[in-house]
Amino acid sequence: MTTAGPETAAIECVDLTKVYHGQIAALNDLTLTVPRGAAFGLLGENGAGKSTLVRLLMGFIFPTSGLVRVLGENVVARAHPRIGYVHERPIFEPRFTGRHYLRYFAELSGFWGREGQARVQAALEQVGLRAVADRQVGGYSKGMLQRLAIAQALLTDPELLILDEVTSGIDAGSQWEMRRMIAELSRQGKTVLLCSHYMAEVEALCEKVAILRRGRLILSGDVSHLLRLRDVVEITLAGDQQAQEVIARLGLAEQALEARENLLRIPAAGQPAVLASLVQAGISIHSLHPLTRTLEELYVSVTRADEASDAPDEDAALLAGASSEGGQA
Amino acid sequence: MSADLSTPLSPLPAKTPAKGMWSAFWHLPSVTVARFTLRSYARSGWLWGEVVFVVPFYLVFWYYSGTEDYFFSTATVGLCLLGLVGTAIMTHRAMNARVYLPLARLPSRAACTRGLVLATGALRISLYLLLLGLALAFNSIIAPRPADIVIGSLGVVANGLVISTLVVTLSPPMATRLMRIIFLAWLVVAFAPLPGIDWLAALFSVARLPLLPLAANIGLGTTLNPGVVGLWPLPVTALYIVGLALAADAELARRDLILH
Repeated sequence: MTTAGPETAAIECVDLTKVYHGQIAALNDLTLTVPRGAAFGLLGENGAGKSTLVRLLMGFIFPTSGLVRVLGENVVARAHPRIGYVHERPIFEPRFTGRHYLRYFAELSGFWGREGQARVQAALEQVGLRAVADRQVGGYSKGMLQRLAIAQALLTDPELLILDEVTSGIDAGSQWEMRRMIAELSRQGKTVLLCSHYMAEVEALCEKVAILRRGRLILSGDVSHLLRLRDVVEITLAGDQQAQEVIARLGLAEQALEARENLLRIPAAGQPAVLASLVQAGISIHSLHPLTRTLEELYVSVTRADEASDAPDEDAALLAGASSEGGQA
Repeated sequence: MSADLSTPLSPLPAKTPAKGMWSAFWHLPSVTVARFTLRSYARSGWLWGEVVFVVPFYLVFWYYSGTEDYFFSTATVGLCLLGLVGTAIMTHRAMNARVYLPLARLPSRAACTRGLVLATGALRISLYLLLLGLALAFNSIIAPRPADIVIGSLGVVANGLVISTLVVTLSPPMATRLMRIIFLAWLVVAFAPLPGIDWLAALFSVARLPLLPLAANIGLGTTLNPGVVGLWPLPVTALYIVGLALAADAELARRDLILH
């Protein structure tokens, strides 16, 4: 369970349910907490409920039941002046200039005159759009549009940034630039909620993650913790030593999870004993490293486990582990 | 591409203080939304379409000079028609997914509906003044008297504003389809000839009552010299406009916004 009290939580959802048109449950009993200052990744396939959750957090739609609290506000619209929101696709009118748009948003936030101009200028510089600020938005590339979207979100120096698929559909260079910006904002201590389809992006930028599937939360927790949940160490024996033969000779069969060719996999807890035996027997080791998985592997594993009515043992263990050690499922 | 995020912006509370009443009014969220809506409407070309409509409308109806009551009665029809179509287009353009970003900055959705009402209202008044200006400039009104022009104009503008505010209130996402159907059903009943059955005729008559101030507004321009008591429809119409705008606020405030 991601633990954070209401005073430290930027976002808090309790038993949150959203049913559209009285029959389609887009979110089902979602309980989730995003601590202040955290970079939180929200993952899920299309139709998992990510956009519905973002709309609920922004107060664009209302919950069917349950509670949603953003920056301590139960009426989430009241928190709007402290939130920077980037929509899933750029939604600007092409006939306005980037500067014009930012001035409009600055005025809506109560910044006009010199203060407004200064904020617009600072935001333009922050996202590297100063040179094209007086060009019509219609002539912007997708990457530039996304940076304009980020700029409008930064105008008020918000405490919380809700970024809905900001790197979708833009080129690799712009994606890299966008990720660098998000990382810097996170370093500045802002709470970032990042909805994304890109696992590597979430893995690189977020310290916490939640995976939604069909409107339900199927896993959440610290990224680093979830990725090393296997708690397995992989030992590569030097030369052409056969792992099977070595564990038989040293009586380590019970400790080994897997042994093939010169590869030996053992539980992390048994590492000291196994190493001691290997050293004592004079067996050289080529390498030793904890076995982790990528977020993508974790995502596929967890979603497949959820899909199947009889979840594999490993994933069941993973879900149980996540529940007890800094994650929730 | 250079993005320097190392220096965060200054903290939020440093808002620009209003230097005067006008500045405070000009930067109200609803007025800011109205200004942006009008700019957007102008840049899209629709606003100029409405302006261009006024010129042939003037040429068709006042190529030959007419009396004041002829001018006000036809101007009411023209302005209401324009208010109906123009406001529907303006609202449709404003209430799409683009509204998410302004909404994401505002603690209340009311600024969006009020901004729309203000924007279309300002346009209706401007278009009427253009029409009146054309009529006066080319001597299309026979023997115009300033007092009559002012009173008649108030009636025309009042009706135009009611129609445009009504369109905002009945447009999606403010109103549901059911609401629009109910409104249209009422309109049919209100404009239908009275039936022969007494109780039904009474019911139809009651349905017509809300239209009385609007009809009286038309009367302001046609009967002229109504006296102070005769101006009663103007405050009632003002109440209609405020009531409709508040209804639009209330409807939008409770609506799930799933816009594309």
